[in-house]
Amino acid sequence: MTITQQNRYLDRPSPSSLADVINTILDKGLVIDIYIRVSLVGIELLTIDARIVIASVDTYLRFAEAVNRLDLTDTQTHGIPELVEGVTSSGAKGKTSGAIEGAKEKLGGIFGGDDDDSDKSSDDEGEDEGQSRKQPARRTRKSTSRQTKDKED
Amino acid sequence: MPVHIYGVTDTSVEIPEDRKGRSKRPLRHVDGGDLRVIVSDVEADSRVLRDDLLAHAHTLEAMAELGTVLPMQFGVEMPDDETVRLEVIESRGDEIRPLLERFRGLIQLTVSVDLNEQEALKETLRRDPDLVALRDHAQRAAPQDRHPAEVRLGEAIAASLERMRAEIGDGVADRIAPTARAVSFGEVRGALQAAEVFLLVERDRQSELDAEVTTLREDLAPLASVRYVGPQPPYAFLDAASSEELAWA
Repeated sequence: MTITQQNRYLDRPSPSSLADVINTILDKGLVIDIYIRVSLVGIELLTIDARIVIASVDTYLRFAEAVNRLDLTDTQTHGIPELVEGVTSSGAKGKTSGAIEGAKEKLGGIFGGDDDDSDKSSDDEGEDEGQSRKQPARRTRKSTSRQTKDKED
Repeated sequence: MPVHIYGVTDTSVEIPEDRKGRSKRPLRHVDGGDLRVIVSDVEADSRVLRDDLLAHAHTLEAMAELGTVLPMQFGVEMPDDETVRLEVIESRGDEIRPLLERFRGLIQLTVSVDLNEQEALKETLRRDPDLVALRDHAQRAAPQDRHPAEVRLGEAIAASLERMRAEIGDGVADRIAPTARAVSFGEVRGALQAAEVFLLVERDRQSELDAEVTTLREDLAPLASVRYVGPQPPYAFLDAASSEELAWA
């Protein structure tokens, strides 16, 4: 315990990624209605799309395929060979990132075509967004059936 | 030229010099009395790019670091500075001042937890032998029966993930809520997000939440990962504060 604490660094919050802004600046904040000048139609479509996807046959099949790739011994006993683990997870990872790319393009399309330019210019800023950049696409691809849970509680 | 409006603060809060607004245009402020509106010029009818959204969010976050700021929802544009003075400061000043006062010394921090798909799927099989049986059944099914069997398996997996993320989400909320003055929950997105918790925290107690998030991250790994965002202006608490629903000391 003492050793862990010596090596521990403290988490610090980071700036918003694109995923975060969908729940904040697009959804919340002061509004003066008659001066809303930006059409957010594209963003609404994106949210609706995300909600439909999860309860779909496609999603079920994707999960089914993903668990088919998991090695049974891996799930039943914990002493699995390192090699098997590596093979199964890298295979599935390849598939996942393909889907992420697809969703990313879609998001780009909604916010205008010159995505490459906008990506480049944000790289110039060079802040701590590198790791979070992929997340919005992932979020938009999936959706939720538990979305109102917290509100209902 | 029209102006994009970021948010409202008071005249004691300066715009950080290295910050740029939408399309890398300089940030400016329009002052009236004790209120300060943060704006930048924007082309009329310009398209919204990712960087525009991030410029808006990051400007507000940089300001929140320095003082109390009320965020404008993205997309509010006015024809000129005079309209800003009139419509924001003069017409809305009486609503804005008490809100700024309510949020003084408070910042929003956001903790978001996502299941890691591979680990979460393994965990569903570890927890539920029926799923393993369903999977074996699907794998052995004759070609014509395979599709329905896989749909059934996938549906069962989805339900199991659902329970898992609800369970993790509730646990997360219980652990981090005590550090906050108020808590609000975001709409969970996707099949794997377990929680999005907005916390209204006293500025000088942020380190307590930092510490809580640190142990949370360690405890949830490798099953789920934690994103920790802020400091932000109090997006998630504006409505409640305006309508006096937000009860805090």
